[in-house]
Formats: sequence, C-alpha cells, structure tokens
Amino acid sequence: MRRYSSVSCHPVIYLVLFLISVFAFQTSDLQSKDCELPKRYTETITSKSGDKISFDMVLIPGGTFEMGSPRDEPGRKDDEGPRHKVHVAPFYLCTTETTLELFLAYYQETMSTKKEFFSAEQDKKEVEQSKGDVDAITGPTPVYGDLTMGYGKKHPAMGMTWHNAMIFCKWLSQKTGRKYRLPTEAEWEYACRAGTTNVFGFGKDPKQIVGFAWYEDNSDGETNEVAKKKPNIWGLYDMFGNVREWVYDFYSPEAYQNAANKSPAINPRGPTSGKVHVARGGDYSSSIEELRCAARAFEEEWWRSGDPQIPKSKWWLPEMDFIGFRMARFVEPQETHSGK
Amino acid sequence: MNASQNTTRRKFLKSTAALAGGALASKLTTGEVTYAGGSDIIRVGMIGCGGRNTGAAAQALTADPGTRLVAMCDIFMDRVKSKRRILKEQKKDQVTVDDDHCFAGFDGYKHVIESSDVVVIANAAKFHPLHSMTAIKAGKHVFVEKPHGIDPAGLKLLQQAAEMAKQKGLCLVSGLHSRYHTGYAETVQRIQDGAIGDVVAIEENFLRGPYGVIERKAGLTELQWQCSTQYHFRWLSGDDVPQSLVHNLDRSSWAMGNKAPAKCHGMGGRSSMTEPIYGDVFDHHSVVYEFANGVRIYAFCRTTNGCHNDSSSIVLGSKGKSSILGCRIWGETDWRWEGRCDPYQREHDVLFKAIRSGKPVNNGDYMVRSTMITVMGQISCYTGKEVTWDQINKSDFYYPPKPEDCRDDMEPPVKAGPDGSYPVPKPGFTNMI
Repeated sequence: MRRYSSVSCHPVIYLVLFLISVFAFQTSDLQSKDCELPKRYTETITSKSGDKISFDMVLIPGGTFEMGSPRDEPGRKDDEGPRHKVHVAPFYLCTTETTLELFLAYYQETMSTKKEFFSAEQDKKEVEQSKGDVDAITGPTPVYGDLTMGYGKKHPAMGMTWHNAMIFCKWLSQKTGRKYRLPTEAEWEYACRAGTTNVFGFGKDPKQIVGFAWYEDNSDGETNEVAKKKPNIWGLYDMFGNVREWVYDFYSPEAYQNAANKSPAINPRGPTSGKVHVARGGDYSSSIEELRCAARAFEEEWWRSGDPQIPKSKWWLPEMDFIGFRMARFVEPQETHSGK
Repeated sequence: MNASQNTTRRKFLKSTAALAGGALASKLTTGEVTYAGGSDIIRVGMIGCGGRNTGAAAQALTADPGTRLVAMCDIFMDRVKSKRRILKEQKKDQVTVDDDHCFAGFDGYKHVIESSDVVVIANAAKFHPLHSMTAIKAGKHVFVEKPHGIDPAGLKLLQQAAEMAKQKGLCLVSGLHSRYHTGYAETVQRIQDGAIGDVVAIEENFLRGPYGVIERKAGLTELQWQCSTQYHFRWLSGDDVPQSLVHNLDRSSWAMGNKAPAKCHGMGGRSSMTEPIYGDVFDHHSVVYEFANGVRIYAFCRTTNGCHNDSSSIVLGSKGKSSILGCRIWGETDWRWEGRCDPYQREHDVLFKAIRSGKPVNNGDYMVRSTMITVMGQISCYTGKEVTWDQINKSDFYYPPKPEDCRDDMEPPVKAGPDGSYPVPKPGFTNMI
C-alpha cells in the first residue's frame, strides 16, 4: 500500500516542480545556464502491459572537482590515484538505481527468444543489427532462471551485463525521445561527492553512513528497495551500497595516470578500449571502505560463474544480485535555449 | 586485496579452480592411474556441442592441467567446429581435437568414447542413459548433465550403468549442481539436523521465460529441425518437469533424506506457447508429490513470457522454514550461509581429483532417483492420472524410437498436422504407463 501512495503523489509534486522550473527558466537570465534548466523532472513511461512507471532525474550542475583519493585516505587503493582535476558539464542523473519494475518493462518489450544456434552466423547478424537502425532493438535473450531473483518491483534491477544496461538505455531513449545513457566514471564520482571534498560526501564521520547506505552491517545480505535511505546533498539515493552501478568507462588501473596528463580533464570517458567495465558505489555486502566516493571496482571473472555455458551470455550475470546501474542524460543543446 | 574478494555474498560462488589446478599439477607424476598409454594426460571427449557442454568441457580442462580435449560430436558438424574454435581460443594448449576426431550424427558418440578416457555428456536428454552406459561399458569415466533420462526405460539403463561403474571403479558424476554447491549442502544438512523442526511441506518453483526458439532454416529436414530445437520436442527432451524441475525436486528429495515420494498427481498444458515453433511440449505444469509420511511437495514450472517469475526451493518445517537457494534458515536460530561457490566448476574439480586419486565418485543413486521423480510427475501431467513410485519403477515405457535405434536418415517420431502444429498429450485420454 505504501508503495502505491508514494507513487501516486510523486508525479504530481514533480510535475509542479517541473512547471515551476520551466517557468523560472523562461523568465531568467540566459547566462547562468545551469539555473535555467529544470532542476529535476519526472519521466513516466507506459509498459507493454499498460503500467505507468516513473523515475526522477535531477540536474547535476557542471563543475570542476578533484577525482580520486589523497594518498592518506584510509582504505585507498592505488588505482584511485593520482588525484586529478576533472571538469564535468551539467547533466541529468536518475535519483535512484534503475528499478526492477522498469527493467522488466524493457525485458518484456525487447526480449529476443532467438537462441544461439549456429553461433558464427548469429554473431555476424548481431553485429549487423547493432550497426543498424535503432527501431529494431534486439533485447536480451531469456534469462536462465528468474530475472528478479525473488526481489520486488522497487528493488534495483540487477544481474545484467554492461552490454545489457547499454541496450536498456537505448530502449529507454527510443521510448521517451530523450537520450538516456550510463554516466561516465567521472560524472558518477562527481555526483557522489556532490560538491564536497570529504571521503563520503556527507561528512567526516564514517558512522553516519548507516543513514545513507545498505552495506554489510545493515543489509541482511540482500538488496533493499531503492530510496529507503537518505539521499546525498544533490538528492541522489543509494550512491553508497545496495547495488554496484555500471558506468560507461572501461576499467584500467592506469586510467587516472592518463587523465592527469590533461589538467583539468574535460568530460573524460575513460580508456578507449579494455576488457571489463567499471562498477561504482559498492553493494549491500560492501565494507565501509568500498563505499568511499573514490573507491573503484570493475567486473571480475567470477561474476560470470553463475553462467555454466560457453559462450557466456552477452546479457546476463546469473545470480549476481549485487550489480545494477542508474541512468544519466546529456543536457541537449536545445534544452538550454528552449527550456524543454 | 581486491574490492570484492573480501566480501561475502548471499549465494555464491568462489571458483576453487585455480587452487585445485595447482594442487593437482603437483600430483601429476604420482597419480596411481596412468592414462593414454602410460602418460599422465587424461583424454576428454565431448558428446554434444551446445552451450552447456562447451562450458562443461572448459570446466574439465580448467579442473586439471593434464587434460586434453581430443574428440567432439554433435548432431550438427557446424556446432562441433564452432565450439572447437571457441574452446581453442580459451584453452589453446589443451584443445587438440583434429578434424578426424570431429563427428556428426547420432552415432558420433561411439567414436568419441573410443578416443577418450573421460566423456562429458550434455545433449538431448533422451540419449544420456545410452551414452553413459556405452562409455562405462568401454571403461571410461563419465560426467553427464541433467536430466539423466526422460523415461523409465532409460533410467533403468542408467541404474545399470551406475552399478557397472561401481564394479569397474569408474567415476559417474552428475550435473545436478545443487549437490556440489557448498551453501546448499550446508543448508540441507541443517534441515536434516532439525534446524526447522520436522519438514511439513516443500514448495518448489521454476517459473521463467520460454526456452529459446530458432527460426526454421531452409534446407533442414524435419528430423534436423526437431534436433536443432530439442527442448521443444518431448521425444528428445522429456519436457519441462525433467528439464527444469529436476533441480528443484533433487533438492526436495535431498532435504527429505534422499527419499522418493510414494505418489504424485500433476496437471499441465499449453497456454501461450502454442505456435508450431514451440513443438509439442507443455508450457506450464504443477505436480503435488506425497511421501509415505504424508509430507507433500508442491512443485510448479512454467516457461511463459510476461508472467511472474520465480526460482525457489522453500522448505516449511514445524519450527521454522528454509530457502535452500537463499542458503537461509529461519527458525529458533536464524542462519545464513555466507560464501561463494561455483558448483559447476566443483563438479569437475571433484571428478578429476577422484580420477587422479583412484577413488571413484559415483552419483548414480540420486541421479536416478531425482530424475525418476520428475519423469513420474511429467507422466502424471500428460495422463491426468495419479502415478505411484511403484508404478513408474515397474514401467518399461519409453518415448520411441529407442535411442540406439535413432538413425540420421529416419523419419522423426512426431509429425506436424496439416496446420503445422504438433499433436500434444490430452490429459484424461493419453495413456503412457
């Protein structure tokens, strides 16, 4: 019941906020671009089965920050350095991790029941398709087992590969007419820090984390519904713990070394190639150290161990309930002019 | 230490492969048994070249550095060749299959068995008993995937194969991976030790989307078409109670102290998977099993889009309950297993360790029992009749043709009607046993 009451009141509130901010933009000074944009908006999609599903996007103001951790930060690892200046343009970020409800809507609409058979032929076809038009999104193959892993609609979606998360964003973009994507690693850390310079983005006392995060000490070994803890200063929930979040970048332990050569690095997108991608923020079983704003993690080989087949699924990390994502979106050039 | 190595997880899964491989490497020269004419190399052959057996072969090659993949077969040569290429990319030095040891067609398995010391079998479940028996007769070790057969006649043959393996000191390892999951094993042990009191009932769910379908390519004969999409044909796969619920019912039977139920009644049918491309299988089943002591298992499986999904094994006790897949107990004392385990890799780690040490492992007991429990339930769903454990064990029913009678040029046993759809069982009218 609580879920329904909260769903029914949110869109109204945010619609009002959205209209106010649009109105505010139209009468405001065009020079401070961040301020002209809606501070947040609610996106609502209708699933194939007719359900309305909403999520909130919040404007992350552009700015420059120190990415990575200082040498003396407790729990620091080498790949978090050197600390370097990064400039990030304004963008929108979802206030929550992508929910199962939304991910299931995508799965139902795009699932491909075609299975691998003559694999070489199939591979060729998929490559051609991915080059081709976006109208024909070929979504995930059926998951072996239960995609929800027993979790409810408002829990974060999980167990998808990075590729699957990317195709989800493509689907959502097509569905809404706005270009959704994964945040870059720099955007993610910038949003997590929310303008602060301390270890966790909320203050110096690590004990406060209990109020913000589901992690090893309070999660009971499972994910929890999104947005049940306090948001950070910029209104983002569960940036610490619950599920790890895929970001756009390939992982490299030397990524910061390279980024530090340009100061500041402007909207960096990580290494141009690599084998695995970065997943930020720690999960429900993480220690406090893994929840630090600067802590990095990436896909490891054992994440595939729930998949006994070869070739491994391009879409699923079966049984891996600790990996999810949240959507970001560029501020489109026309938005800063028209206040769309 | 890496970010996620020091964490604990709800369900899994730490590969012991590297560890086991290292330990075994040092034993290579001291093994009691030698292979392939006195060398320490163990020759592995693949019977079936689908995704799962390719995974199993990779796990075998990972488990023991002295293994070599030497022969492969499948109904289709394309699959043999493409999987050889993929495996070679991953295990370059251990994949030594030459063109002369790539076999296609129903009889390919005979040649693979001849060339190997160990065979890994994952193909249409109809053939699992015959291929296991043939390998064991020839003195070869066997890993075979679930389900371990689809009918009573096949499972009787597998029972004989398991006994023969014991006499000959050969390994027979089952792909019922729950038994190799250390978290499930500890949970079941606690149930058996009374952590939730007496078991009152068990709920088993495997509700999910359909098995993948493939387009029917031009040029395939009807027989090739059916073999290429074998999960959708009963005479090859045995349908979804054996295919999916075998894992669930294996856990139930295990939690009940490795016992079989006395009887069952089931129901099933087709609701949405009705097009010809879905063959002649049902898309939903429910089976109620009853043990001699009155305990019941309520078991459900479904392969349908857009419906509730669930994969669970819930054991209800007089003093609590347990989720075996969650590795959890809620009782007088709540408990949760914390750790990681890759049961698929463990199956092979155990198998090759047993081969090297000369102490054979034989899973015949539960592999036959658990599969027979599913066959009994499936047949009850088709016939609409109650089926007892005695009845199913006395039956000689098999889905024709017998596996040994399958020929590459034969007509398939089921054919589509004028509208392209295949006949399906009619509960209340269909007789099988």
